[in-house]
Amino acid sequence: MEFKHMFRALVLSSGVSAAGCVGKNVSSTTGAAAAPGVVEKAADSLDGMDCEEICDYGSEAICPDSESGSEGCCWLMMSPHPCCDFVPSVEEPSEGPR
Amino acid sequence: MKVHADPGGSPPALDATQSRFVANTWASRASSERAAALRFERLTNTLRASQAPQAVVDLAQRAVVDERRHIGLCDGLAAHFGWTDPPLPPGPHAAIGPPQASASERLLYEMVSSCCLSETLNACMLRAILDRALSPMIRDTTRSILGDEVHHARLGWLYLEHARHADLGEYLGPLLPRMLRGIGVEHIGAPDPPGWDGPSLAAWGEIDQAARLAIFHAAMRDVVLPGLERVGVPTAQGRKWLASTTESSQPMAPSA
Ligand SMILES: [Fe+2]
Ligand SMILES: [Fe+2]
Repeated sequence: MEFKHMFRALVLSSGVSAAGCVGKNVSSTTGAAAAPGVVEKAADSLDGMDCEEICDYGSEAICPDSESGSEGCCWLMMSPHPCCDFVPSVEEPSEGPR
Repeated sequence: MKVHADPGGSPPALDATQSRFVANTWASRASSERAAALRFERLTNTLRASQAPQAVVDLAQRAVVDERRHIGLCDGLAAHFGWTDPPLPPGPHAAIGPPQASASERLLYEMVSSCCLSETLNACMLRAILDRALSPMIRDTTRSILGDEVHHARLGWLYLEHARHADLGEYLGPLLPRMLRGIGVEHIGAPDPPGWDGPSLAAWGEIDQAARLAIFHAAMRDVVLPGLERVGVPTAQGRKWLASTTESSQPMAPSA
């Protein structure tokens, strides 16, 4: 039993009062500001995957969900996508959509 | 006698005893949701009066609306599984905090206890229900509530971050064991009642004692303690208290 993904969803995203993952329009999150306090780390690949290309690290980390076959919030996934563990580089909130 | 089956899913049918366990769970949850609605109502006013950041006040105000919605959802599920008694009254919701502390310290204590600890644990418990429940009805309700509880936990973490910027909150460290004991450890460590059929009930989202203990420890280890440490709240005493409790079958006895 582990809840490491909940740490991102609850603590690191605490500055973002987004609509959440339930019934969410995934594309609406792409312009969200980066969560405050996220540890800066160079954007890099994880096991050869370009996580920033595969997932959306806006107000929630949203990656492909093997259970539903679509995209979903990492913290709601039964088997989180490997990129759910990736910590993206922090961009200035004012830079707008990626 | 098979008295309950969920037409949309594939969990095993429940007999009257197992169905009552599920009904009790949601009736108890409704009671907790009533308490949470009342607590957030009071906290919203206190936060506003203390000139907390608008984002915090907005989240607290939203939480009142959310918790009221949860009451209806939980009462509905309880009734579906056979609860016929009047709804259980709200659980404890009076202001908490060390009596000798200042008003702002007490407010921070309550925000951390209610949101960073209780709501975070609540979100982890709901997440665990989603992992095991097969019943679409239970899954839909759980997912709907979880989507809100995430924000209630965030409210606490956001307020704590704000407080730490104002150099408040160092005093929370030594109070962590008391705070951890105060978030319902009696319920978490309560033994499974006689007649409990774990595998059948898991498909209906029920969590047995061993799993509740494991979830509690994992939530504290993976989310709460790192979250507190991230903003410089000392956690040594909280960690010590947690280590003195066990994840397995022993009830969580308060320690010194
Ligand atoms: Fe709730
Ligand atoms: Fe809540």
